[in-house]
Amino acid sequence: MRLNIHHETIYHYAAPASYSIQYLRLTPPSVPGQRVLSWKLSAPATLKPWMDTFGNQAHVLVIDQPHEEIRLLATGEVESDEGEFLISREGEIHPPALFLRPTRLTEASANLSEFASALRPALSKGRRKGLGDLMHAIRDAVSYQPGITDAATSAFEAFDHKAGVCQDHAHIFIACCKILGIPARYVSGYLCTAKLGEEGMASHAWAEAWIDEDGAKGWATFDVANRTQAGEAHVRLAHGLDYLDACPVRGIRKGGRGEALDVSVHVGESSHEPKRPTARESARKRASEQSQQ
Amino acid sequence: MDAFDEMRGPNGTVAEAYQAVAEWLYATPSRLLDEKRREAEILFRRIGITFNVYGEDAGTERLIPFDIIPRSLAPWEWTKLSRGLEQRVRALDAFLADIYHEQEILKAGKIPSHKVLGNVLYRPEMQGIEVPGGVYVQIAGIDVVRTEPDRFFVLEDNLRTPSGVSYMLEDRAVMMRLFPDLFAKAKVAPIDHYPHELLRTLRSVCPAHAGADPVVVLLTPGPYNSAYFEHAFLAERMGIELVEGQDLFVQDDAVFMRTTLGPRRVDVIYRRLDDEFIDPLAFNPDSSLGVPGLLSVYRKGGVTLANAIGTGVADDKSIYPYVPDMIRFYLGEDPLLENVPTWLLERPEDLAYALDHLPELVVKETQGSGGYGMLVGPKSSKQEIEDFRQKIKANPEGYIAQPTLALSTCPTFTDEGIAPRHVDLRPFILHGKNSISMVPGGLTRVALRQGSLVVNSSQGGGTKDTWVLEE
Repeated sequence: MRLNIHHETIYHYAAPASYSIQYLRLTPPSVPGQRVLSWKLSAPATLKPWMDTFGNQAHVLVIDQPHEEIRLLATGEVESDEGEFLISREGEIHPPALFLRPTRLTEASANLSEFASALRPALSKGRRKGLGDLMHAIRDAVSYQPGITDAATSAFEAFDHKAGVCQDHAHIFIACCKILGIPARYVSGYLCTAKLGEEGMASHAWAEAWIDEDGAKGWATFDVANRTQAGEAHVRLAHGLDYLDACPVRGIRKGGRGEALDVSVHVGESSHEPKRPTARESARKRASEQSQQ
Repeated sequence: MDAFDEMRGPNGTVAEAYQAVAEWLYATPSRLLDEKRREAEILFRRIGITFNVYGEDAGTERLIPFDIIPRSLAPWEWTKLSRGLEQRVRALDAFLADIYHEQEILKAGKIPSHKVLGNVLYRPEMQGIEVPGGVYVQIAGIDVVRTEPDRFFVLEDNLRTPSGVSYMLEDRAVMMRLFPDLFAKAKVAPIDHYPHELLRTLRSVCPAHAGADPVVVLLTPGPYNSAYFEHAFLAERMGIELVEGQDLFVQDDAVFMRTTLGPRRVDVIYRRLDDEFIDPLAFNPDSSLGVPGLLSVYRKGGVTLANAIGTGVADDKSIYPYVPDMIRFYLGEDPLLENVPTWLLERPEDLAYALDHLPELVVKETQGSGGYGMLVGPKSSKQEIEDFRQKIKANPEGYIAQPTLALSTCPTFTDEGIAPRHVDLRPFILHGKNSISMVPGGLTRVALRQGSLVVNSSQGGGTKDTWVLEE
């Protein structure tokens, strides 16, 4: 399936900021299950690319002139498929065991430990099945309800609220996995809502857990909010231990009181007709082919 | 417990290294010594060498007590010690390079993987990157204690932001001022070139782009930090800028310092700020002390951090027991300095032993420092031991236990006259691109309370000038 993504983020400041710096993780990788056909990330100043420790393509944005607005636009087309159940860790520099590390957003509590431990019998019969049960148990216990939690809410806080958004579902899943001794991590990305329909989200987050049984090894995806594995409706942007490692924008500024944030994301299925290249694109393509000869 | 006294020795004769000190003590009237002690205190107050004590009212500044009787090491003692320290620093740096690249020591099963990968002081952000000059620990402070004339133990490695070197330098400066004649008689190896050596070390590990004249700065958390005096002191002695996070900013893959003449690119940051606070976009998001964006520059090799991010995993007390194995694994050598036998309380059998023997053990938090959160069994009341037992039981993996060592003593001024007091030694080891160097000696800390084994300044310890005699 081809997905067209249009993701615009606008920060407005009531009083101008004098300096802003942001780490952006807004560039999807081409990995098994998704192929990036075109992608453009635009910002009001030069973007400096860097690779973070998880291999995510990140950029640094610095604005050192007074500004009342930062407008980020990520657009492109990604071809996705259902993919395999297990994603190989080929090319990753961290061993799976790294993803047992505690973080503030995924730390355990007594409540959460008790909840996770109830899944031990199911897990002993098979990790894949057991983790599926865990996904449903979390979704049953924690309703999808925006406005209750925020970006700094930890797994056990959301669990105690019994409500949260996809980020909280992913954190709770990861926290439970760690309690059970299973490496797990956070994935941020997009979801084509038309395809799954259940929840009104286009920016999305889910979790991955490490499976090593019956001779098969790899990362299995668990979209807890939608009770499904990540499939062709999902486009992956970045992963890490938790939200803070993988979130699309992490920034700080000087000045700029009264921040207001507008985010609009549209993920839609492209028409199956291949897009006709514009005259300029064709001319450029010819030029670059000639220059390579 | 009978401790070895470094001046008197086991048989009561004055050790060779202490000949000059002993003669001086014998020849100087006590009234004059008292006068000099008061003079020393005035000098320290005037220099402004104070430190903040955590756990007391914010901003409580105290003078670290200074004892005017020097501690003295013979040249051969120092030679042996310094070789052991150099070996240890080489192995610890090799360990860091390994765990942040191939992780061979984990694959070889020498250290359980989870102890490194699950350690909060291990920083995944460092994985796979090349640090400028290939050095992780440019400045190490390794705490050493002595139990016998020829027996030194490493008590702990400090590989993050070790402090105390300013006291080492000031103690010497004050001693030379108070007792110039003494230094005319004893041939004491000089240490005042330390700031020069430190700057040379920092410059040697600058990024490739920096050229022959790199810009080096010292990054401090600010005046509320307990070691702020030292930060200002070292910056001044090295002739480099003392900066706080807000004085630096990131742009175009580089770090710049704000100056009255406009932005100036910074090549090497001697940072005295912990990892956790160094870049709020990568670590603790609430930190206002660091430099936002620093990690992105660092990962691309645009700036040197001394010490590197993530060195704490090598000085963590739960990793300490494996240092002798590291020396064998990376260097193929036998350790020259001994480790203190250590029980890891995460191991059930070690825990059981420790809980049975608390009154005779020293128990420490694996990630603690500064003498906080520790139990010295033989010096604690029944109640203190019971309270500590509960803490250990609640979180065994947070603690290690060691036998209580009979730390050596040195003659020290006390309210009851000159008496033996326990000491340790923190030498400072500088690791540059192609060299390891140290000025002779280090900082001697002395437990001023009779019988006390805790030398930390935050716990009522004092300091002494430390001599290494020249041949």
